[in-house]
Amino acid sequence: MFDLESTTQRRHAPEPDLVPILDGLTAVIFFMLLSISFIGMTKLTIPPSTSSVASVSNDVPISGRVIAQLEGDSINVKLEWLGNKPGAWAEKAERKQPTERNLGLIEAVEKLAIRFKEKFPEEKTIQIALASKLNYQELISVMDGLRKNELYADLVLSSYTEAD
Amino acid sequence: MLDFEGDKKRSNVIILQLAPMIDVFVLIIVFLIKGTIMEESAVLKPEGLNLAQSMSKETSLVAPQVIITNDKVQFKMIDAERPIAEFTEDNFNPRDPVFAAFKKYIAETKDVENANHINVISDRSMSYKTVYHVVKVLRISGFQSMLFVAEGEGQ
Repeated sequence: MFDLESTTQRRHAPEPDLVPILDGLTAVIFFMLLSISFIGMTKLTIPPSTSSVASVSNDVPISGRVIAQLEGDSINVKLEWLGNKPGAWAEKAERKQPTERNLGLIEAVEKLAIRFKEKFPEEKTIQIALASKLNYQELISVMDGLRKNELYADLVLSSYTEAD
Repeated sequence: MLDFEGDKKRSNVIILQLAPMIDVFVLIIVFLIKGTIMEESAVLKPEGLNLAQSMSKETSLVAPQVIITNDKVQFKMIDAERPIAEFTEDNFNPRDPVFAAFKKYIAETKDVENANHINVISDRSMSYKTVYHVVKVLRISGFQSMLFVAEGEGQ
């Protein structure tokens, strides 16, 4: 009689349904995994303090400038600079229709930019002045030549009056 | 006897288990929602405008737009436009209401990222002179950086 009662009690013991709980937990794990974003902690190191005597520089700024001028059916690209020893280099490129990229112009500007970078590696900015009749496609091509291989990131537009 | 056989057949009917199916669909929905990238389109190319070609592989930024077509200049951020003739010479009216609108726009969006940059979208045949005058007006108004939009190699 005692045995029979205990068997009946065991049969009525509550059994939690584990399957939906596991499904729910899997969904939560997926949600959390996809929500995680990893951010690298930055380390800030402050260098030891030093003192130095500042001297007034008489150097004239370099101010590199690319000037593109129209010469008949071709474009004359000039790169000039000021500084204590001003100078200029020039290249020529054939003019093309605005429907296509002017690879000749890009190469000419790139050549000048590489030489300028070798001569003045500290210079980060360069100015651009195009003749008033040159078009937007040619402006983009000049910028392409200067920005190719990350030569110059900061470009400043100058007035067309400097090129006309 | 016949009834008994019928009961036996009914007990063998396949029952569709909905609970695991719903679980799996919930998982897929969560996966799809989390995998979706919501991004504002940086540049909307107007019809009839031919963009310049570029070798640059840089992607465009979401910034206010100025569109230079063959007949007008559209300042999308202040919902204004001016005829192109006003930009062919260096004589844009300094009292034009667009200057006040630009200042108001810059003041209102000072905390918004790239709000003081401008996406300049111009037709490829537009003269440098006109582009320069438009850029000059924007620079005087207080916009800091001009992003010239062109079609890249991979686009």
